[in-house]
Amino acid sequence: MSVALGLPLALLQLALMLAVAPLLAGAAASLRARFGGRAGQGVLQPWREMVRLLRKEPVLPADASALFRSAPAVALAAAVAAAILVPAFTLESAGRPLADLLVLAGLSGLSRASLVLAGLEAGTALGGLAASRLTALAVLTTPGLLTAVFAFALLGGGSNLFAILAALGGGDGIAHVAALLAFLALLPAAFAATGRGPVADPAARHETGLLGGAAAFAYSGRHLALLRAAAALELVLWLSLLGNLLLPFGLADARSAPLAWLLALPVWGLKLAGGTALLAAWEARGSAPRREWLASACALGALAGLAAVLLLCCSGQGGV
Amino acid sequence: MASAAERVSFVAATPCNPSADADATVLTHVALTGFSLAVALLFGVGAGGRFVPPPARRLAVLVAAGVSLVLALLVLLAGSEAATLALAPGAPMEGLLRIDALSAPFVALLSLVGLAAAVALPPARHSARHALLLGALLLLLLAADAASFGFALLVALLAGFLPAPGGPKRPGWRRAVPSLAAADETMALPIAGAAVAGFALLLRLLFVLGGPEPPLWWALALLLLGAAGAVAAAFRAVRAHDLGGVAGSAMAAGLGLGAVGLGLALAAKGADLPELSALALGGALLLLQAQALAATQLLLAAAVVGRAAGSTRLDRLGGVMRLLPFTGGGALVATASLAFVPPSAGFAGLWLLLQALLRGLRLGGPWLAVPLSLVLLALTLAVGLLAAAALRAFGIAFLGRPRAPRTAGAEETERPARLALLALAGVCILAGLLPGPLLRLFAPLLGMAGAAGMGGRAGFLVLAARGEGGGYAALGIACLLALAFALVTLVVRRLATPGHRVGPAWESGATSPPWLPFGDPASQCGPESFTEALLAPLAGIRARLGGALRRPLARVWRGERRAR
Repeated sequence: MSVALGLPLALLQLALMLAVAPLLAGAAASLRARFGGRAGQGVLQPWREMVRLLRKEPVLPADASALFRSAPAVALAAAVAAAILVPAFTLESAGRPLADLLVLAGLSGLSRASLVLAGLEAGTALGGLAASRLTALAVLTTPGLLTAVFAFALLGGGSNLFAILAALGGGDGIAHVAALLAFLALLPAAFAATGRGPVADPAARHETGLLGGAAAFAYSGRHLALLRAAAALELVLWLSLLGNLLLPFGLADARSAPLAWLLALPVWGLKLAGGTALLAAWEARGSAPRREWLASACALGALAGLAAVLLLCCSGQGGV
Repeated sequence: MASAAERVSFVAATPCNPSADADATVLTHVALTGFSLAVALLFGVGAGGRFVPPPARRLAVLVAAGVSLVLALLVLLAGSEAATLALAPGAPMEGLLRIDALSAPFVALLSLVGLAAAVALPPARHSARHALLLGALLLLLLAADAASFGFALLVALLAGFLPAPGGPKRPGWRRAVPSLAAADETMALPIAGAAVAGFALLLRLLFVLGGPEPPLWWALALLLLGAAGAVAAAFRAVRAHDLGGVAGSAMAAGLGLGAVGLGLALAAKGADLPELSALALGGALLLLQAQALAATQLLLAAAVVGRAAGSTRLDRLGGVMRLLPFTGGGALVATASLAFVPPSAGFAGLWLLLQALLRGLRLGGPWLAVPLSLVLLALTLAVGLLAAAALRAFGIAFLGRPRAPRTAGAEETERPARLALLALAGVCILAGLLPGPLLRLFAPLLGMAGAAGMGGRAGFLVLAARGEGGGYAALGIACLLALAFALVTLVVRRLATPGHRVGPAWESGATSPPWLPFGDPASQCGPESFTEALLAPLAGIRARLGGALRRPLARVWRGERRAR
C-alpha cells in the first residue's frame, strides 16, 4: 500500500463517515417511528439540530472544570481517530498499520471514560447515576468484547483488523461458526458503546435510557452538539465494523478490479442501511431490557466469545 | 571446609565476559559501591530511630534513593555485565551485593518509588521504618548470598508489614498485616516497593533457579493463582472506601496480572518457545512498572488530598480537581494508566500481555487451551473491574462538588509533593508513549531469563507481536488523537458561537435548602451507589449461575437418595 493512495482514501473515508453519521442517526429515528406507526422526524433532522446547537450559547454548571468542557471534544476525537482505523469500504488505508482491534477497543473505552467523568463532574444526581450505569455496562461487556477480539485474532492470524477482514473470507465451517459466535459476543459491547436499544432515548429517565444520554444531562450548545456527533459517529463505526465482520465482502484493495472499487461504496451503504433497519426494528418492537436481562446477555456474550476461542483452539483453525 | 569458590551462591552465576568494555566494568563496580553506601546509609538512619531528626532522615532517604536510581539507570543504559561486590578475598561471605540484568531494572523502579515517596512525604511523617524498609528492599534485590538475602527479608518484613504502633487494629490473623483498604501515603513504599521486589524475586526464582525446562505445573499454578488474585484484588478496588485503598488494591491486581505474564513466559520457556517467553515477560514487566508508577502516584495524590481536605475517604471528597489542579492532574494520569486507556503505560503492558496470551492459547494443545481460556476470561473481568475502580475513585474524589465543608476549603500548598507527582506523571506518560525503548532496556533481563530478546519487535515507534506487519504504535495513536482533537477544536471555533454562560447545575427541578449554599452534597452519586450499580448485575449473574449449577446437583443428590 502506498501513502499516495492510502492517505487520500483514509481522509475520504473519514469525511464520508462524518457526513453519513447524523444521517444514519436520523434514518434510525425515522425508521423506528415508522415501525411504531408514527410519521417520525426527517432524516436530516440530526444535522439541523447540530447546526442549531452550534449556534446556541452553552450554559455550564457553576462548578464545572476544564475537564467538563473538554470531555465532549475528547469523546468525539476518540471516535474520529477510530473512524480512520476502521475499514469501511476499502482495505487500502493509511490507518492500516495502526488498526489493531485491541486499540479500537481502547479508543472506545477512552470515549466512554470521558463521558463517565463528565457525568460525575456535572455533580448532579442523574449525571452520576448515568455514569455509574455506563461504567457497570462497560464492565459487563468487556469479557465479551475481548474474547471476541481473541477469536477474530485467531481467525486472522493477529489482531490487526485489516488482516482479519482479509482472512475472514476463507476458512471452513468451523471457522464460520466461530466467527458467528464471536460476532454474537460483540453485540452487547456494541450496544453499550452506542447506547442504542429498545429504550435508547436520551430523554428517558429509567435504567437503560440513562445510557443514551449518560453525560448529556448537563450539556447544552456546542458541547451537546459534539456529544451527539460522537454518538452518531460511534453508531456508524460499530455498524461498519459489525457489517464487515459478518459479511466480509465488498471491500476493495489494491488488487481489486475497477468494478470492485465502483461497487465498494454502494456495498458499504447497503451494509449500513441493513444494520440501521435491523436496529430500528429492534428498538421499535423490542421491550425495555431490565438490568438482569442486560447482565445475562453480557454473560452469554462472554460465553459465546469463549466458545469461539475454544472451538478455534481445539480444532486447530487459524493461527497466530 | 569448602573454599569460597565452592560455596553455593544464592544467585545463579553468570559468567563474566572477559572482553567486556572496561568502562562498563568500572561503572558496574562504581555502581555497586554506590549501592552499598546507599543501603548502609538507609540502615544507619533506620537503626538510629528517634535519635535522628526527621529532616535528616528525609535527606538521607532522598540521597540514597536518588543515588540508587541514577546508578541503576546508568547500569541499564550501559548494558554492563553482572558483577559481585565481595567484602574481601577469603571473607566468610562470598559476596555482599551483586548487580545483574535481573536486578538493575527493579532497583531503578524501586528507587524511583522510594524517591517519589520521600519527596512527597512531609518531614514529620518520615519514620525510621521507612528508611529501613527502602534499605531492606534494595538489599533484597541486590543480595549476593543467602545470608544477606535472609537478613534483608527479615528486616523488610519487620519494617514494612508489621502494623505501626497506635495504628488501627484488625481482627484475627490479619492483625499481622497492614490493611490495604486503609492505605495512606506512608504505604506507598510498602505497597509498590514490595510488589516490585516480590515480582523480581519470583522472576529470579522461577527463571534462573528453575532450570532450562521448568515443570508445566509451575506455570499453570502461577497462571491460575495470578488470574484469581487479579480478579479478587479488582473486586476489592471497586469496593474500596478510600483513595489509598483503591491504589493498594490496584497494585495487588497489577501483581496478579504480572504473575499471569510470568506463568505464560514459564510455560513458553518449558515448550522451548523463547520468542513467546520474551513477549509474555515483556508484557508482565511493562504492566508491573505501569501499575507501580500509577499506584504510587495515586497514593501520593491521596496523601496531598488527605492533608489538604482532612480525609481521603471517597464519601467526604469531591471537586478536588478545581481546588488542587496539579494533584488532580497527576491523579488523572494515574487513572488513565489504571483504566488501560490508550496511549497510557497501562495499555501498552496490557496489549503486550494479551498478545502473548493470544499466542499462548496454542501452546500445549486443547487440554492447555481450556485453562488458558479461563485465565483469559478472568483477565478480561479483572481489567474491566480495575478500569471501573479507577474511574470511580477519580470521578468521585476529584470531580463533582465537595461532599464536606472541610473539602471545600482545600488549597494546593505543598510544592515538593506537587513536584514528585508531576515527575511521576511525566515518567508515566513517557513510559506509555515509548514502550519499545523501555522494553529494549529489559533486553538483558529477558536474555538472562532464557527468553529471546524482543529484537525488531520492540521498535522506537511500534511494538509488534510478530516480526512483520501491524502492532501497537503508542506514539502514532497519541498523534492521531491529538490531530483529531485539534480538528474538532478548530471546527468548533470556526462554526460555533463563542463564549458560555455559567449557571447552577440542573437537578431536575429539585432545589437545595438555604443552609447548603454549595448545593446538597447528598444529591450526588456517592461511592456506595456507584459500587452497587457495578456489582449488582454481577451478583445477579452469580446467583443465576449458582442456581443453574445447584439445581442439577440437587436433582442428582435427590436421585441418589431415592436409589439408596
